[in-house]
Amino acid sequence: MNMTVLKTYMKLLVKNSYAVLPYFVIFMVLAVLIGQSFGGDPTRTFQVTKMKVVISASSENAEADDFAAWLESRGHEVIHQTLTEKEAREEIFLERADATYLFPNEEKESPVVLADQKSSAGYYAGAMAEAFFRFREAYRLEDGSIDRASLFETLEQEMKVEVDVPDDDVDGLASGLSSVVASMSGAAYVLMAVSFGVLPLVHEAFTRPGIFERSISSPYRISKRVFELYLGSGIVVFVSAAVLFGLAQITLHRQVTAGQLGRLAVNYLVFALCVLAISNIISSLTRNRAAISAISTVFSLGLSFISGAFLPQELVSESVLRVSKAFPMFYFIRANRNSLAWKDMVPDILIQLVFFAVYFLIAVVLQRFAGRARKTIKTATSLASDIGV
Amino acid sequence: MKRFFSHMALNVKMSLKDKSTLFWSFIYPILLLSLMAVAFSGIQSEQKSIAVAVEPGHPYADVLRQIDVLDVKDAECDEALKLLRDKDVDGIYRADGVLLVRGKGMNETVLSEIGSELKKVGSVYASGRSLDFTRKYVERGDQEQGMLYVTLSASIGMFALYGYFSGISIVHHVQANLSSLAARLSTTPISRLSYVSAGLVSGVAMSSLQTIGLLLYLKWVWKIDYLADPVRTLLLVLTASFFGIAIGLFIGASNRWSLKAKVPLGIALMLLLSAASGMMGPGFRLYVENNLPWLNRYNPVNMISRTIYRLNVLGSTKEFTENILIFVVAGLILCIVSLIFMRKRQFKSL
Repeated sequence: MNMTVLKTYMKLLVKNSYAVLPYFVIFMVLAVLIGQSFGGDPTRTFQVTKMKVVISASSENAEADDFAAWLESRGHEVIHQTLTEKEAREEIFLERADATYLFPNEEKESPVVLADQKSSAGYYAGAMAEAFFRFREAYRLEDGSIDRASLFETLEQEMKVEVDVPDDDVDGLASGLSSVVASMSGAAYVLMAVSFGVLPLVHEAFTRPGIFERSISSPYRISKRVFELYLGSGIVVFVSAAVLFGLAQITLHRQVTAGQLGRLAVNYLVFALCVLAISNIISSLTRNRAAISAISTVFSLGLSFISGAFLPQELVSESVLRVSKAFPMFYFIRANRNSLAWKDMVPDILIQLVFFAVYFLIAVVLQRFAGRARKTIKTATSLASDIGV
Repeated sequence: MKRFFSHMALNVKMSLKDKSTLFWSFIYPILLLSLMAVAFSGIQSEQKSIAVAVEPGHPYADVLRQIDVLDVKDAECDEALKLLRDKDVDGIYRADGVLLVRGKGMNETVLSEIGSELKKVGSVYASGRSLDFTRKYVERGDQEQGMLYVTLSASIGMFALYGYFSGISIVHHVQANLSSLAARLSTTPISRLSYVSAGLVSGVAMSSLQTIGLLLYLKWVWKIDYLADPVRTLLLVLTASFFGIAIGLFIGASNRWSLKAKVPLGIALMLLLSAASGMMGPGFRLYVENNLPWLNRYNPVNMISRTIYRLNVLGSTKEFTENILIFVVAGLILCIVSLIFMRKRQFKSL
């Protein structure tokens, strides 16, 4: 079977590969590092989030010693270090500590807790200290000393906490989900960057004046030419998707069961269909190579940011998420977050299929219009040259 | 001198006429920073309240409703469980006194801490003692340290090095074996040193203007002040731009790869260094800090982003002089080596 168009497509693809190879290399490095930085913890019992804190106090500060002892008894990592306020802020900035407690030399002054107060960790660090010193003050005896035995007996009281483990259709570890979502979101971003960048570049090469005119005048059926163009784009998107999914295994293999992996693959496959359709839309929008790379970079990075690919969706502001719901990536990421059970994923996968259908229709319509526009321009140019203008 | 200024004007004109350069130098950074600021602004605005369900009959139900950080939803047993599983709440204070959560995390920890504290309060009062809730026992010092600050400073660090692209473009204008334009120019009596140094100066000026523009954009539009210490920040931006162009000159002159290879190489390298500096979230940055600390110490993107943060948010000049010296010395070395690579040569054919 003679597939000249497809062969040319592949040659052009190789020629344009310089634009995509760096993305694969970056993703491979990131996949390895994501795999290293997230540890799968199979425990299903509740554990208090452990903080790393610095306590800066003079050596004979009973208040600071009591507080440090209590924090350590709760499993937090406590570093004793004498710091100025600037040095303490530096420790937080470098993320060597979640919070720093600065105890003044005068016991009458209150200690200062430094942390990002807008974060839950900052709130927790302040609330822990506030509670501790309030209880400590409650156990101050008439002679000014502290009834430490009663204080610590009270402080040991904890509310009983249980973790909800749904027993229906759940297959996989909730603890590994964050790394799964991070890894698959990274793969989705790279797939978009590669497809949005390369497919329009290759299509552009097919519509250059000389090639376009030779193509339409050659005895090559238009339907066959279109089919081979679609086949070529499909090969690019799905082979890229397969390679990226393979690279993502560096992270995934420790975190998922076989069933969950299958569900992730189906979700990724449907997302790849959407990417294929969007790439074809971009191909029809412009034939300017500079504009293609600009659109592809801005669109892939923009979608990833607003859909929550680089940080958990619950941290993205509501208004931004409302915008991202108009694109399939939001549903792709949400489906991955629900990948422990089929029934939770199916609605998001179906929504992506609807997106694919809509995008595909738009791509077909745009391509017809683009084709007509090209014919009109070419005809006008030919006529102009015929009469010697 | 006249020749130098004429070359400088030529370089600036060529940059301003190239729409692609204008997009990548000015529009793309603003777009990217805007996207980041929009996406991450939700985290920064305030401490979000924690949604929690409370079953009727819970001993502390009334107190829980009065705690600011909690968004309490009264719900019966099954309804509460549905809210938890639908991720509408982070936990359930059950009527039997148990806290039910979905997993482990900071919100769950805060809920457990609040529950435990209420239990302790009961115990204190039961022992005949009292607690003073009117007094503040600790001073809370805020530090703007969240993800938005880290990602934005890392992005600024990356854009400050965008002079790299000017650097490789200068080389491709003068190195006869790299482009047809350079081959033509090499037959003219253009002074190579004047052309390269004019390109270097105009490149530093354009790249610095771009970074300053971004800093002003962040300050005026997003109210993120990375110009609190303007003099030192400008000095840092100038030296970083010089270093970026010097890398471009070196990569451009040291090999015969085409522009198509050198541009993606620069993009890939900068993305990787920016990711290590925290542009794509804190996880990767922390991993590098903990396991490869030397990488981030000498990672130029991280050196710029850290120094910008230190100067303007912490008011600290730590590592400032050291980093400036590293950029200047390394930049000079790279420029000298590049000039050696670009020295006049004869080609048998072009």
